Amino acid sequence: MPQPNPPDLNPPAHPASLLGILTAFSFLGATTFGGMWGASRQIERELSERRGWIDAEEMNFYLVAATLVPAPKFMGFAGMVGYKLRGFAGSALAIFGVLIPSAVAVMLGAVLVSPTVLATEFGPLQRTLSIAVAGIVFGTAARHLRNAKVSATSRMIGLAIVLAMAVAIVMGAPLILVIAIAFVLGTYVIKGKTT
Amino acid sequence: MSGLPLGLWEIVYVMVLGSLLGVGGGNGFIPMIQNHFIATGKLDASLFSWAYALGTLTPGPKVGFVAGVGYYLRGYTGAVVAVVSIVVITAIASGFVSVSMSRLSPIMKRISLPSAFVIGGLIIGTGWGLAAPLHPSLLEGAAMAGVVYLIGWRDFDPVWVVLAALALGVLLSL
Repeated sequence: MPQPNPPDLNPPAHPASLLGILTAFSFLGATTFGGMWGASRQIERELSERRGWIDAEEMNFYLVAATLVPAPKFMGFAGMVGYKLRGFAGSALAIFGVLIPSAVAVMLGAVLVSPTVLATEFGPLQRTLSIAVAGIVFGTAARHLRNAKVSATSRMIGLAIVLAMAVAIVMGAPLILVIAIAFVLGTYVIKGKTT
Repeated sequence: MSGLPLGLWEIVYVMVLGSLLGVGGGNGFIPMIQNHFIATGKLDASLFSWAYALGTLTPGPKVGFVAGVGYYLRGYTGAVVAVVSIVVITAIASGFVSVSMSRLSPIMKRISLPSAFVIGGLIIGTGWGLAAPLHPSLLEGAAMAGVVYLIGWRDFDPVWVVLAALALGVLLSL
């Protein structure tokens, strides 16, 4: 992961109100697909071109820096931009705004389709979705592992850690302990790819 | 929805930890939800899958699915608590990272190297927890393997997988 170099973070050309932050990020949350990277053009159009809150260089910085925030990338990005605009209040409203459309839509689906209906009338649908989601989860893990920019030796060690973790979790080992041991071990033995 | 009692603090705890595990962009919510709610019987795996599928289909961050998880656990209150927990912890983390960027970058870079494998291991453990109770047939297992290939190697957007599963499921339900 490249280390982001903060650009000259100037005050926005047009000051941002808290309501403006909420509406802007709610609009992004309601109209973008494909995650943060897939929505980068729309983000630039809304935050940079239309509202003048950040310029292109700042946007690229925040897109990369968002990966440093321990949170989903899109929300980390919203949080950092919101923080720049109006401190913690701006950060919270930006994150809330980008998340709420999806959360409301999921809630509607959960409320309108009751578990009983799902289990009885749409039993086969529930099963196909469960199979698909399990596959998506495994595929997501595979993508994480394939995208890791580490040396070949470190990749083998990393995969051994993955296997040990998976077995420990399936056997019922405390999750926090598994995570802590894996992180400590991985920090010492996994090295980046030399270029 | 499980009849077992569930404190709202448990939802907060899982959402906060799930968010913190997302360093580097990983999905820490899935293994945390699996470990704390599904494995303990507080949340049916099929309901989790339904909420996750909905999150994949909706715009914005896919993590919106936690609202559905919160709803299945503790109704509307659970949904609100789940969303607010993530918002608050992310706002705090974002602010912290913003002001500490130059000092945090080397540390985060060091942690991000093993994080891919830690998250991968967690997610695989979670995937097993979702897949094993289904006792998939040979055909279903092959379908699952196909999805793994599409997502893991071909970078397929999960939304198409969910739509295809929805279409097939509706056809089979008729």
